[in-house]
Amino acid sequence: MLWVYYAEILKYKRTSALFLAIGIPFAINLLFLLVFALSKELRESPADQLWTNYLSGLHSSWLQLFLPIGLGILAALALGLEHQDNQWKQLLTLGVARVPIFLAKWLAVLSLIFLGAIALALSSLLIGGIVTGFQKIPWLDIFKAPLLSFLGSLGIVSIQVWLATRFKAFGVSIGVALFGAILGGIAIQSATYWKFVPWAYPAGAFGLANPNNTLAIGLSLAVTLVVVVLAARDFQTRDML
Amino acid sequence: MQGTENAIQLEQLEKNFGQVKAVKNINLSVQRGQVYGFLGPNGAGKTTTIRMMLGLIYPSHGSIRVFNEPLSSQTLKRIGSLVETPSAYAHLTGRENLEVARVLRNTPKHRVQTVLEIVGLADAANRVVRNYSLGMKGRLSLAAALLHEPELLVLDEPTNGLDPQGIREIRDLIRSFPTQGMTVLVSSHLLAEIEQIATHVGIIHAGKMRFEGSLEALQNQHQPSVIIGVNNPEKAISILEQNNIKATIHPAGIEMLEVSAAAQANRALIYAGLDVHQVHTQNFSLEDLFLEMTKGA
Ligand SMILES: Nc1ncnc2c1ncn2[C@@H]1O[C@H](COP(=O)(O)OP(=O)(O)O)[C@@H](O)[C@H]1O
Ligand SMILES: [Mg+2]
Repeated sequence: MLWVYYAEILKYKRTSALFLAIGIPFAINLLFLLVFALSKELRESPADQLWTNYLSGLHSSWLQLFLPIGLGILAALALGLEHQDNQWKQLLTLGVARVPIFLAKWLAVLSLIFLGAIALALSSLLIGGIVTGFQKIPWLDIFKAPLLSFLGSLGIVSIQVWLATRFKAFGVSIGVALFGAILGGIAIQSATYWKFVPWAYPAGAFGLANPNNTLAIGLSLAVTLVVVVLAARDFQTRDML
Repeated sequence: MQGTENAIQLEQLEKNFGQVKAVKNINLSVQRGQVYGFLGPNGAGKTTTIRMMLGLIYPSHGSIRVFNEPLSSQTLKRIGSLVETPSAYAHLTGRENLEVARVLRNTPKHRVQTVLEIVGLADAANRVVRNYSLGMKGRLSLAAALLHEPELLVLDEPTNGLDPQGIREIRDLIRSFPTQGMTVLVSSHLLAEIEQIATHVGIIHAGKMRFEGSLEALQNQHQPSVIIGVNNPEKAISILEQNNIKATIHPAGIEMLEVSAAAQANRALIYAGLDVHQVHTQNFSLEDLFLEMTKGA
């Protein structure tokens, strides 16, 4: 399994995957740096409020917009490598069973999202630090949000990876990601309905709005398990044309 | 005897795509050491059959055995393959593409360079595949198929879209494989191509096998015959019958299979007062036979 994953990683050279995974978190931070620069009110908030103000805007845009859409793009990109040129017909005849091939793909996308979460933490430390003059750094908050939202996103990563194995068109992946992000954003406002929308789990896992964050992580892991099993089965048993 | 060991055995293989019956009850067997030409016009079902042999699609019915085992990822480890148009990761170099396959195949590192040299791509190995010509891409796919020194090579129309020079190179390569202990199944819609490399052929048309055997056996399927142009074919046949010569109605008159009796037949017909306006021997080329077998639906 490990070497299947290694072979998978080799394919991302010269693609925009790594650039997107790491670049988007940095770009969001730069965006918030700009927001801070332009907003006198934010700039002049009391010193102990600076970090909180900076991080809350950053994190909610990450949880509700950039993460769900970014992971949809990365899943489409990862599977697009095999769809272009119908590379499946080579990949699946190399003597490796289909399930490990699928799992390696899934793991590769997860790895990219994880790198993205780390990049978000590091860049918010750096750029948030510039904004606040590196005073009273809230270490826990800086790392907690990206990592909890990563756990909360496992379910939708799995859904998007499955979807991308099925549909060649980028538009399908992006469309579902967008729709999911909107739906998740609405659902997270409700104390009941968020549970039924996997796209609300990243925000739920972070404890945004009211939901209970361990439940959100638990639900995300449960969805992951179910979807990965179903997707692997589907991938295993279908005709690769 | 090694020569009779099964490499591929397809039994009653069928594949339906919805209403389309692409492959209908195919039986096919390839023995170790053969270069098996899998021949049929476009749309005959070659690619569909090959995709099933490689586990890319699943049969609607029937069985596939490779080296006497049911198909699995284990048997795929013994096969190298190239299906339809060559494919590769366009953003990677030739060498990087082979490296991905090499890691998945679990073969030694030095094989990459070896196969690059075999297919003549060593000089272009560090170029991104996006800039390769179709011929180069074909050779790269072939290199990937050879990486793990497979016992069985399955090539689906490997010369499609190549220029004459490229076709020749691929053909020479394929010819050299059996001496290295490889069994080859190669498909084509061109008889001329198969004729030059294959020891055995299977002819498929409209999803059905029309012939399987050696090229010699194919040639022997149709003996040359004699066509006699005559004004009263029915009467001619009965006259020849009296002379113990079998003949049948033919668009140009009558046809008889006993070539050596042509002169005798001619004499008998003229003696009986019939007008014989032509007598000629008809030889079937393999091309004629192929066309004959792949006529109609
Ligand atoms: N995915 C598919 N869906 C529907 N029909 C198909 C599909 N693939 C192949 N066919 C049909 O099956 C027949 C055999 O096709 P194919 O195996 O590609 O032939 P060949 O490789 O000999 O040219 C054709 O009639 C083709 O149209
Ligand atoms: Mg074909």
